Amino acid sequence: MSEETKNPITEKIENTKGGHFYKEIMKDFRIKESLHGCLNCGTCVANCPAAAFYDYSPREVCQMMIEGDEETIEEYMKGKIWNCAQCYSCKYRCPKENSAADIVMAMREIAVREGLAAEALAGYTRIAKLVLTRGNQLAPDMLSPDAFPDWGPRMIELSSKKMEMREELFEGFPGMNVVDRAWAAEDYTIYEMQKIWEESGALEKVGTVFPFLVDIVQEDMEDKAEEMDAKIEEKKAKLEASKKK
Amino acid sequence: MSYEINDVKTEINHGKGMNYHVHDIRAEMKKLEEEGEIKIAHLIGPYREEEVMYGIKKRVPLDMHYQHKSCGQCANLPGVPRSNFYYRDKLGIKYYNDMQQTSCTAWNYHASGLGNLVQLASVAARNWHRAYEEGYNFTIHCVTSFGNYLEMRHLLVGNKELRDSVKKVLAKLGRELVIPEEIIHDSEIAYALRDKILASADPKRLEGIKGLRAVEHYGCHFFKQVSDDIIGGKRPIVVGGLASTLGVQMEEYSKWFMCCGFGFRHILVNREFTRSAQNIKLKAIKQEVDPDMILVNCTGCGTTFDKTQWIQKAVGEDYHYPVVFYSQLAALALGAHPFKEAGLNFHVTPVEPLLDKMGIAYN
Ligand code: SF4
Ligand code: SF4
Repeated sequence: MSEETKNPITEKIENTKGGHFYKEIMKDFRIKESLHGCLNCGTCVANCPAAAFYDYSPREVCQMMIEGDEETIEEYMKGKIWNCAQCYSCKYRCPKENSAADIVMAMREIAVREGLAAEALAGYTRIAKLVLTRGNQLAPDMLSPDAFPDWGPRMIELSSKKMEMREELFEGFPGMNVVDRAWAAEDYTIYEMQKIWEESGALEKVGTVFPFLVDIVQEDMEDKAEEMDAKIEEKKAKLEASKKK
Repeated sequence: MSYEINDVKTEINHGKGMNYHVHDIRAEMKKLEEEGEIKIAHLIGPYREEEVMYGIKKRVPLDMHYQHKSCGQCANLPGVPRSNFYYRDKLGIKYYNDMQQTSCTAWNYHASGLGNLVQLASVAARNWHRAYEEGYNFTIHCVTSFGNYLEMRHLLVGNKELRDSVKKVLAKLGRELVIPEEIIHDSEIAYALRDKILASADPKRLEGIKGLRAVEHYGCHFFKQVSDDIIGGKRPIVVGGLASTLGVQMEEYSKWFMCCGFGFRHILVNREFTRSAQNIKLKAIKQEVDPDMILVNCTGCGTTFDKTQWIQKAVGEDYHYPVVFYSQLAALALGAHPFKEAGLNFHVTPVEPLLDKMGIAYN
């Protein structure tokens, strides 16, 4: 993709049709790469697992964006986008190289930003908290048999023995035998991650769904700030020195 | 129908003769490097060239591997990272298991829409920078991370605005934007090392592997998210290629392309979807092949295949296919203890019948 890519199809609609959501979606620079006209051929639908089980269609996603059809876009924004499995089968198979997957991703971001995602993200608190306070996204402790009864009887056995089993498996591998996170990332590393979320505006966005989480992260950062910021300053000085060399 | 892995390495699969559409990210990166816009983390040490789309060569580093871990594997299928370490130890490959890395956060992003591109690309670039400052080649355990890093590289190379925002964030951390010359998944490395793994394998173990029948399933984010930079061309070959080198008979099934049903969010909050998609795949596997195992390279798919077979009893199906990662197979071939060193006891679909068939003791 070259830097100044223009897409005549999306540009035309941008200037003529579409409502609030359409305009918000069009601001995402991925869209220009994701829409190149549509044959209405349905190849994407035939390969889409979400279309197999839900009232959902990647063809419709592309069509509504090409048409600037705000009514349908709103329907997707308010619920249907959460059906997509983000598998990119549509993108891989589309003869026009459209990507409903990327369009949906842009829409999910907007849904979060505009406070439309609370229902879809119910049940997601623990993952979000882990990302923001531990630097990784899953922990052995989260895989309790009561949360996953459909994973069968072995889960119960695994759950009760996981400490000993992990100890045996990871003997001699520091930082790996933990159960409250995936691996023991250092405090400084977690602080850097939190900084990224803050500086990129992503933390503020988290606040639209999980306001309490923003408080937790900010408190956590404040507690460490003095020590960690000093480390960062050292790093900055080192980088500057290496650049001068 | 069994097939030779070379059958799929056809010219069409590589898109040869379609040169009008070649997208050569390496050339674009080189240009930006020359302009001083980005730094590239060039490969360190020996490498092996493998073909991706349009016959472009991808260089797979054979030593000095920064181990960018998978949170899903470490938490849920810890035998996979352990096997990744194991095969390196056996082959004398130097690696770095860094505790100053974070998750890529792409699972979160695709599932929830929390986060944004500047955040996602900055997290990627911070992890890349860790490998760079430690003097290692960045290599990736997880397919979600792999797809995400391919995409982040693509977006960063193609977009000055994103680049500038990410550089700004990184500068606040005392870091800079250094993009790896190659984005490499661990299964690509194991494939590039296949002859070495075979040569170092335990002959008794190879005897047990020989003639096992397997199907393969690749993570969607391994080859569909950014599809022009995976070894083999349009259709991946690395898992089957490694397995058939070790003596496994690879079998074809009609639903190989279909998503496993993981869905990022569905595995957490919509598992009826996951189970239904799984049933379609498993049914085809059973009716068309009935293999000894399902071979995978993706955290999410490995989880989904392993965890979703038992419940299919609810719809009158009885599936019992052990789910084995490419690196667990390599570790077994190299003599690993199936539980203490390959961690197969963490899988919930029983692996014991497979181990019995292979003549490997586990107690
Ligand atoms: S595959 Fe592409 S061209 Fe065909 S209907 Fe889907 S988006 Fe349109
Ligand atoms: S990414 Fe979404 S829209 Fe595209 S095929 Fe997969 S489930 Fe369907």
